[in-house]
Order: sequence, then structure tokens, then C-alpha cells
Amino acid sequence: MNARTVAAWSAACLFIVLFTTNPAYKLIVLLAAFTTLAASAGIRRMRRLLVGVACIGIVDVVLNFVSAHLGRTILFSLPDSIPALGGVYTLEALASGLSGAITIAAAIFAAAPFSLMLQPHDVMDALPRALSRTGTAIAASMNLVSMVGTTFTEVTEAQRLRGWRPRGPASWAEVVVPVVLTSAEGSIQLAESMEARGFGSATRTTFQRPKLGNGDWLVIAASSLAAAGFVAASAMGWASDWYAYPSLSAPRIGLAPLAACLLLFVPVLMWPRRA
Amino acid sequence: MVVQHADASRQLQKCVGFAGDTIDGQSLMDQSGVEYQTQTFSFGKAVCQVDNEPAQFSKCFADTGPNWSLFVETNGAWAPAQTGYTQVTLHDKEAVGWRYTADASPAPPPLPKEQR
Repeated sequence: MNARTVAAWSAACLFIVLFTTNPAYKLIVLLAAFTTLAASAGIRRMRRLLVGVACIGIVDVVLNFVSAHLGRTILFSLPDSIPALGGVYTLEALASGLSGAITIAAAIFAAAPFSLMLQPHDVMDALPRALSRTGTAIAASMNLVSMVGTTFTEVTEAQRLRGWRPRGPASWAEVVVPVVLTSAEGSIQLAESMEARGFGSATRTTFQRPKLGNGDWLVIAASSLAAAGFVAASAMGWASDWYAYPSLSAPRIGLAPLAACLLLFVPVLMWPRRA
Repeated sequence: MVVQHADASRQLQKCVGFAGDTIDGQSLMDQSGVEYQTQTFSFGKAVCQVDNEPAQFSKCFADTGPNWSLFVETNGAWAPAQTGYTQVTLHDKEAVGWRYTADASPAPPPLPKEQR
């Protein structure tokens, strides 16, 4: 699987999801992204992602339902005297929150193949030559986040063995200071290792450049056609937008934008299942 | 109450009678019979829709494009409202004006007809 192919597909998914306000099309993109991930990465590897997406989606729906107080279909109301919570609770606010949750879920699933289906070096190799050094620096920085977490656990356990116990915010200095020092030391070691291996001395080289196969080109073509087709359908007025307020209405679906969205399912057939 | 839509030719005027010395903006809006939608923010109630304009919306305050601007008329002159409509208090022969516009400093709607 080529990272540039994944990037093209992800970009098309994200573009359509952010371009339209119609939750019907967003839902199709969400299904395409979910099905592709499930078919390629497997549900088991998606567990943590699913939990995260579900939590974010629920928070989004609840937050909009509780805070919007807008719309004509009133489900119930709380006295205005209750700060923040007082006001009418409407079906429109619930639907708007649900649409937002679908958008977020689709966007996360569309970007998830980069972490679930590709190795970091695949992503690095896919970057344009001009961005290779920046990409390496960002990837190394991101890697430090998990290192800091590991160091924090190790230092906390070591301090507990020495009799340290958390007694208010001030006591955490005995953990935070060693964690910061260890992290700084780790960063310096990483920088020296990279420099010793020639990072920054010349353009990044590879033994073998990843090549695009027929399947990759098919996915890239389908993704491009999906994005372009959706824009064209919108320009022609076939992909109507949807608004939650003031009264709820069913989102309208056009054949052309629907076909464009369905093209995003192509990777389900093309991308191999990872072991 | 005077309402001027984005299409300037669409104007609406409603007069509300009241018994006391003053009437508050909320009562005026409710008694005018003009359709309107509001959303409650930390700073108070904001008007999202007046007289079915905009017909549909996804956010009360549009990021781009027109929104409803509020004016208060006293002694025959409009002034931009310094508060939300719920905090406005009107005396006899005073008015509030709504104008749907994208201008940052919008011109007020036409004066109520009785005062021309």
C-alpha cells in the first residue's frame, strides 16, 4: 500500500466531509472510511479508535443539545434561571449535534489509515523531498510524546519505591523535575544520533522508491473523481446543503453527488487486509 | 417595530400598544406577532431569524454574510443598540429596528411611518 495513495483517498474524504453541510453525504463518507478501515486494518485494531470516536461524538451531540437552545421542535425546557442549562431543548439542536459528530467521526476515520495501516517510514517516504527534513523533525517530536509518558510512569514508580507519596501539587515537583530532565536528555541523544547518521547533511536518499501500482492509480483516480465530481455536482446545484435550524428537514440526496461519494468505497476492494 | 430584510424592498412595520410607561424588548417582540428565533448566549439572547429570514441556517451568527442588526429609535432618530433586544426599554412612540445586512456599520432601517 502506497502512502501517497492513502493521502489522496484521505484528502478526498476530508474534502467532501468539510465541503458539504448535508449529513447524508457525510454519513456515506463515514461509512466508506469505516468500511475501508475495518476491511484493511480490522475491527480489533480499531478498538481504541472506535472508543475515542464514540466519546468525542457523544460529547459533541450532548454539548450542542445542551448549549444551542435553538429551533422550533421543543422537546422539553428548563427554567431560564438555571445558568447555562436553562432554556429550550430542541430536536433541531440534537440533529445539528449529530451532524457535527458524523463530521468529526468521518474526518478521524479518513485520517486513521496513516496510523493504522502505514508504518512511519512509509509516511516519511511519501512526503515531497522539500518536506522530508521537516517531516522527520515532526515525526521525532511526536515520538517524544509517548517517551515522556513512559518516563513519567517510570519516574513515578521509582519515586514511590523510595517512599514518595503524592501530597498536593507541590509534591509532584519531585516527579516532574526528573521527567523533564530525562526527556531533555533523551531529546539531546536523539539529535546527536540523527546527526551522526547524517541527518541534515544532504537530501534524504532511499534504496528503493515506493512505486504506484495499478491498484494505487485506480484509488487515486477514484478519489480525485469523487472530489471533483462532488464539487461539480454542487456547482450544478445537485448537492443541496442542509440546515438544522429553525425547523428540521430531511436532507436531500442527489444521484450525482451520491455516486461521487460511493467512489470512496473503492479502497475496500483494492487495499489488502493487514495481518 | 421596523424590520428591513436583505432585499430592501421587503419592509415590515408593527405597532404594539402597552399599558404602562415602558415596554421591554422581549415583550415587544412577542406581542408584535413577527416570527423570530433566538439563541441564548452568555451575554444574553441573540436574534438568529426575523420574519423567516434567513429561511434556514446552521449557526445563529453566520461566519460570513448577513446577520440581524438592532437599532433603537428615540425622538425620530435611529441609534445602534448598545444592548441585546431583551435589555431594550421603550417608551411611547419609540421603536426598535431590525436590519438584515452584512455591513459592519450598517445604515438603520427606515423610520416608522407615523413619525415621517
